[in-house]
Amino acid sequence: MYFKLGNQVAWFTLAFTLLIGLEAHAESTADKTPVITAQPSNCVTLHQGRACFAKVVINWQVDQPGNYCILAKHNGQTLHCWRNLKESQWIFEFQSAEKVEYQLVAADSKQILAETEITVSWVHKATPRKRRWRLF
Amino acid sequence: MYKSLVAALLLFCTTLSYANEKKLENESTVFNETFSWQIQMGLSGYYYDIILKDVEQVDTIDFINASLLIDFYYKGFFIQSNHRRTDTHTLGAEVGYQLIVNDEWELDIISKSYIGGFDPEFIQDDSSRDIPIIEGLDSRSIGSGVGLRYNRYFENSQLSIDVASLGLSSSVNGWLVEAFYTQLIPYRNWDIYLNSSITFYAKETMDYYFGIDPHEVTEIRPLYTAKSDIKVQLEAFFQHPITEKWTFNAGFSYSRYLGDITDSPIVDQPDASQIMLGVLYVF
Repeated sequence: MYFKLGNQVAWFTLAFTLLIGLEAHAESTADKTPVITAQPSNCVTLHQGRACFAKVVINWQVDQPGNYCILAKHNGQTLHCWRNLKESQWIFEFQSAEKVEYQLVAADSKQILAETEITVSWVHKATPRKRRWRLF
Repeated sequence: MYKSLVAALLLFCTTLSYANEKKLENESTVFNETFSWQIQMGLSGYYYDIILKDVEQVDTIDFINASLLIDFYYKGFFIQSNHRRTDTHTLGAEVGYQLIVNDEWELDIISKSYIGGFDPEFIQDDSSRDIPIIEGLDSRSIGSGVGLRYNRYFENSQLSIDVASLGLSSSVNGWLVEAFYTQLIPYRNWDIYLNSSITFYAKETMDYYFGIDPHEVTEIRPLYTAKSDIKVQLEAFFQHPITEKWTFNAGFSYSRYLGDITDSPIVDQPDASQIMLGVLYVF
């Protein structure tokens, strides 16, 4: 009986160790999943419809060194590229009246690896008036 | 005469009004009637020169101002605050009715406070030292006026001309003509307003505020009758978003009377500067 219990404990310990190991492996894989982030991710303007300006930092990371680019999703324009890197940072001047989505793509295969976006919000809603500002 | 003028204006309202709607940010419907509105709450720090002799800001509370800016529109009637002026937070809102509205110009009947009053007793109580020059002086009411405003709109600027009588809605006598020009300069996320104004004050108005009546005469405060005067003002006002609900506001203004205002025994200087820094919460 004691032996059997001890055996069960041994199997449980083995299974638990394997589980932890798998978890750790999964985490380490997740760490290397292509990631792209933008800071700030929201730009606030005074009036709806007005272009919003912000200094934005985009960070990206992939698991293998290679050639990668950042594209603007709405028009496919290539904004910046890197050679033989697996992570980097890009600082640029954001200017838009509406949300802009960015894609991290593999330069050679054109495969989209990750996406991020910068939203635009406002303090004052647009009104049907031609010149909103004129209303005191 | 004033009553006749008001009656004529009201008649003008009812017969000629084909006002377009002002569209404010929010619309609410109560009993099938829709009105639009906007409310902002402000907290600001102020520094301002006071042209009265020996009077100055004293306590911390003198430098802080909390305000509620309400805009409301219903079928031509409106309450509005000039959000782009430094003194809006102290002089309050304008109440009016749109008589004629076109794309390029507008004519309103308007009632607003044009001049801030002062209460010598209150000033004395607030001060840590005696101010003999204002002791026993009558209180001067806020100069509320009723008049006509002509607005002319340009692409990024606006000219407004007010002709108002101060005797209709307050105890202040006289009348004034005020021309105000504002130019908007958008720069990145900033709204920058460069403003200028020129105001003519009738003799009665200047005399109400800065004249010394016989019963106010003392050894250091001789009898004085003020003349009409012109005040010019230059102003820069800045607004920047902080979040979707908060904005940062800053303003600087300089104003100067061009006439003989310093001849008044209670006036120290012909010019005054005002600096304001604050935040607004948009409901």
